[in-house]
Amino acid sequence: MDLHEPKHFNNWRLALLGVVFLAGLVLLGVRLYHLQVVQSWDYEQRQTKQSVRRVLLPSPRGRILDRRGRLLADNQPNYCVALYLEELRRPGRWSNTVNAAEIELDRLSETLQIPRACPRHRIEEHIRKNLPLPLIVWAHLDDAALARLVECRTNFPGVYIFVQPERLYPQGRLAAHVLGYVGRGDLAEAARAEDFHYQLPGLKGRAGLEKEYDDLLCGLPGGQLIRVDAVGYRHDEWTARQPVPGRDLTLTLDSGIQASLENVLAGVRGAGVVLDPRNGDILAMASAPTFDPNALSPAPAPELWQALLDDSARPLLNRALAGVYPPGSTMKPFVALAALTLGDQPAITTHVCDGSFHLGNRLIQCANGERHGVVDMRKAIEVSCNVYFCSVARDMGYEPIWTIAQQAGMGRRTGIDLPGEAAGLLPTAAWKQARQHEEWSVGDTCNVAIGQGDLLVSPLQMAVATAALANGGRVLQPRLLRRGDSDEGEVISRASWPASANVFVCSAMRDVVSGEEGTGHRVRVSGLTIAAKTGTAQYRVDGQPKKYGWMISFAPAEAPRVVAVMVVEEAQTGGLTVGPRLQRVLLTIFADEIAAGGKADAT
Amino acid sequence: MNTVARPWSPLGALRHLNWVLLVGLCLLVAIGTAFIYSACSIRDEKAVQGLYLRHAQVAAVGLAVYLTLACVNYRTLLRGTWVFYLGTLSLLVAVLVFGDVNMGAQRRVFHVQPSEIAKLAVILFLAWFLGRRDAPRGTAAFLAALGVLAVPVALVLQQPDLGTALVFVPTVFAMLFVANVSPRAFWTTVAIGVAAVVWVLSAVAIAESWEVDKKTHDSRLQVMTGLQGFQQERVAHFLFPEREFEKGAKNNRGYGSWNKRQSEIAVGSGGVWGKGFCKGDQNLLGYLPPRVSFNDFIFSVLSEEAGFAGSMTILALYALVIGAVLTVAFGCPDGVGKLLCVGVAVMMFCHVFVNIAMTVGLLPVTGLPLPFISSGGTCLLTMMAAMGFVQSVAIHGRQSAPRF
Repeated sequence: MDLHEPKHFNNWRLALLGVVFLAGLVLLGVRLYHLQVVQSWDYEQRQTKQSVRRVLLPSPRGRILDRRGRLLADNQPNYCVALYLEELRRPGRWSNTVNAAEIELDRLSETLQIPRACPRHRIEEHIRKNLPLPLIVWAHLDDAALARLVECRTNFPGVYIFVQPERLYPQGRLAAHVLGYVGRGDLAEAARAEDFHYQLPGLKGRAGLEKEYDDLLCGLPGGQLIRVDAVGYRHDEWTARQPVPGRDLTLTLDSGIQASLENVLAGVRGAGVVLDPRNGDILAMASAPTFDPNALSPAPAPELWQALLDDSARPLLNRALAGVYPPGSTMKPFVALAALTLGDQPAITTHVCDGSFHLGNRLIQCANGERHGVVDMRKAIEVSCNVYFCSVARDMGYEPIWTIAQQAGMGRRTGIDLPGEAAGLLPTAAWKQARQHEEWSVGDTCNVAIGQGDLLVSPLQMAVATAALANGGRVLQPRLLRRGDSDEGEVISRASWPASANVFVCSAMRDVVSGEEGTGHRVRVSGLTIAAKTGTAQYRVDGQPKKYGWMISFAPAEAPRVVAVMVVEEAQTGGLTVGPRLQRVLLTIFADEIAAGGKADAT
Repeated sequence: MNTVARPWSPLGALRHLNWVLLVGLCLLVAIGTAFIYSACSIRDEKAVQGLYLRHAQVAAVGLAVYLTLACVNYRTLLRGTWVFYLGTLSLLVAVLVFGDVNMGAQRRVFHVQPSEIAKLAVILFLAWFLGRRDAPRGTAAFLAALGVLAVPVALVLQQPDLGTALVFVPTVFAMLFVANVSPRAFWTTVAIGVAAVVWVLSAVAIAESWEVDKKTHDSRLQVMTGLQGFQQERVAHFLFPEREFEKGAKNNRGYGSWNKRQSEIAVGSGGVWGKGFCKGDQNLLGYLPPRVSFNDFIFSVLSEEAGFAGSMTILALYALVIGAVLTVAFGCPDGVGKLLCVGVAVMMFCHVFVNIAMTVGLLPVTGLPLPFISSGGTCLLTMMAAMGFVQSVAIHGRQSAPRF
């Protein structure tokens, strides 16, 4: 039967082919084993790396409330129209997709009856940088447009309503300097912190408490994973970590007092601080002129921002803590304390005031050239006699004054929980030598004693110093975050002046308000005992002499609960300009008690 | 054997069917249909989405062709094979004249890729030419066989389609080897061929160090090796897989580099058990280029979604089918049937090996389809017809055939 089997067709040749085939398939098998079993994990990583993008999700920002629970900063939804480009994608060149997006935008603009807000180059930029993210084409949609969009959304594939949380300050300008404002987060910053490829813009505190407590307010941002296809479009997504909302802040501020303080400062340049001398709670802090944080959050219009920066009145500056002024005669109570710390003698020492104090070739006069005659310390505070305090300062030297002023917190930051605080300046002989290459003179001592010369303080520093006087020597840490009623506050240091000196100066300050010749009589409020001291400091603007009007006060004088300090630029005098303003603030603060007291008197 | 006495009838013939061949083939086609569906399910175009149905339809036609060929005695058919051969040559010429250009190469005419058919035509013609009992076995026959090979290869290279052309060479040489035609001429040619391959590879390797611009580089290399720019680049990729190629291509998404890397990631990330049917990320997200994922790179889709287990199953099925074809060759009493089976087995093996080796990064990227699995009508039909001839050899080979 094998007759036809040709001899040259040897089957070993076939077998050899079979072996070659087998070897080839085994080679493939080995390579597959290497790829799919040995190195599989590696390839999975490469696959994930090229197709998964992490996106930062901002967390809802914490709200800010005043001590009574009134909202000062809140979040409100900002309805945006977003375009998901992967649903509009067109094959071929990118420009095809951009064209499709443009056509869609034009149709939308017609339907919603709002003008187009997203030019072509923004679409192109978005495709280059943030392709898997929605492109926001309109923000701040009003109700009418929103309603129209909801009605006809099915006609617009790839168009979605996107809600972006936005900051709202419901009280408008109230406490603007304290609250600050927010801006859009810095892209690079978050990318540095964690390995995010993209982030949806979050809000970031730019000034004031928003900046100081940004970490608390902003919470913990969440993360989202997006899978992108080979071209870079979003394919699908899942949330990897839910964002943790930011904490609400309850402030020590009382919005009623704050409003009254801002009202009295309206129209002038100046600042005021109202503080609780028992624990350091700041009840109100105002700076004028002010601004509307709503206009600055999340981004001010460029012309508005430029106008704010160019304004010579510097509305963005928080004068209450960043503005420094010579304190004028409000320094005198502390000079008195310095003198009394040395002994009781100065309290009864008298000096004769003939209206001017000669020192070498310098002449220091009393206000309005008044001659106070024979004055003791108590009277000197009441009438604010420069001659008396210059004499006392000359006699005791600068050392005691510097010690007391330094203890009261002048020349260093109070450490309040707000950014941008100024330290002011409490000059020393060494400072003067270094700065002006001159010896410290008796004239310098006298200047500091009447709050002039190189001495500079901020209203907040004066408030803390006054509080130390009001509470018997405790220098408190001023604060804006409320800790509860029972909290005693944080005492930074204890002043070394004796209690008797404290009582003496306080009663002298009551005379400032209630005395016949008291310079602070305009602050007088019936039914309330007030201790105060006025001050007027001279300065020059372009060669023109101007005055800062000051007033420091606390009430009720027997058991002080409130310290109020105010400074007004370009004032007549402290008593004239600041007195009535401070009176209105005190009236607001103690309105209930005065009314109750009045009734009690009537019955 | 008493089979000689039995009268011929189709049903009687089917009784001697080699079931391993048929079942293996059907399994491969079914798997192919499923993964073409997976590869195309993400595509927007309706026509592409329906490619799996087209695959099944072509397979049904192919099965009919297969059974018909199986029933007919191959000896009868092969006597007219020179007509088939000449017809295929004219189709190859038609492609060059009328063919539509696709991805830089003219390969199709009337929706048919004649280069696929040409492989079968050459196998059949040479089986008849070399396998007859009285066939010449001298150097003249060897040269004649090379001539039979050279004409279609030259035409295919004009398209140009290097991958397909490369399949011809081992197929024909394996047939010459098994037929034991002029051993001296055979081995001399093999030696020259190996030298030529070494020359091309080393020329491309040396060309890497030339400090000339892309154009000069390419034209100089083309003079030396005869390879065109994109072919040079693929060979270079094969030689230097870790290098990023920026010559010419702005990004490295050139067909070679990008596809090779993405294909390796797809296969590797599949792991042992795969990501599940229609769940391959590389495919879903379009990293495997959608233009080739359902044909040349179908194995990437398959091994990503079915894992090592799946790819081993495919290799085992191919081993089974090719093994069965060789077994038929063993059992066939005449040279024509033997050579026919050898040709088909080598052609299939070349396709399988080159395609998978390309997918896993062992060989440069060439456009060779995976038999029975890749989408592509002509290839599937040709392969099934080839298997039909093998089946015919299995059925009718046992009858002695004095006519040759």
